Amino acid sequence: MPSERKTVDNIQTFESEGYALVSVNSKLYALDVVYSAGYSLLDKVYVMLDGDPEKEILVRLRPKGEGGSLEQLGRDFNNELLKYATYKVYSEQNKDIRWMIVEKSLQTNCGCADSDDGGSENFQEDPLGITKPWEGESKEEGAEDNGQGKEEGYIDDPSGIAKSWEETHKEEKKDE
Amino acid sequence: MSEISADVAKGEVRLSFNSGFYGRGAIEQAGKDFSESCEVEVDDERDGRIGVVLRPKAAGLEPGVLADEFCNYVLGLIQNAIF
Repeated sequence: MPSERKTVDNIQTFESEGYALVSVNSKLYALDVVYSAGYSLLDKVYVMLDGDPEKEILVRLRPKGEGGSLEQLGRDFNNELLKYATYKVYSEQNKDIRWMIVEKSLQTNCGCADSDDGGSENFQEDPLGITKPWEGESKEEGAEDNGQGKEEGYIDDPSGIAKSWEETHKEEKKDE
Repeated sequence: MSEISADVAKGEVRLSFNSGFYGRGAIEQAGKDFSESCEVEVDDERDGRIGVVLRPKAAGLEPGVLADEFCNYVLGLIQNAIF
């Protein structure tokens, strides 16, 4: 039985064998774009790749069901190629923006963006010396308190209620 | 073009993958995943091609369809590995 072979643009159809052969210039379309285009049609066709990855990629498309034009199948594949090639170009162009958005969202979630922990990343100029890191400020207060004979964490006790166990028992012994 | 040839007498189908497009890892993984429904043999790479022999375990499985499904499955694995 002679093979009914028909060529339209980059599409060859083999009606008797029941498949279409699409020729793809690998300088126009990257291999991952060809994979993606084939993958998007997997539910409709059986896909097989061959040829030379550096020059010409041959994609064999065999429809799963009966009916439907083989040429139309090839054209659908060409459209998918263009779609994924465009997606790849825009994806490359927007790479930095996407990275910035993800980075910003991660910073927001971990609470690092607004924290004033004295880290060099969030440091801003302070010519008047107003801002102080929390640890530094508390240490200075602690130093002043120690100078007055108070321990760190001391709370004022004007009524004299707060007494240690030793102090209370010394007083009791004196009373006895 | 890639070869898919069926040997009806032996009840097997032979595929020949272009190693420039299909990695051996993906083919072997597909072979493992298909091992429940058929016997799979993956040959060594020769002249840039990797040969695979599929022998269906059940009588109802058509070798040609099995081969085409195997090709699609390998492509799916490759695509999933990329993304």
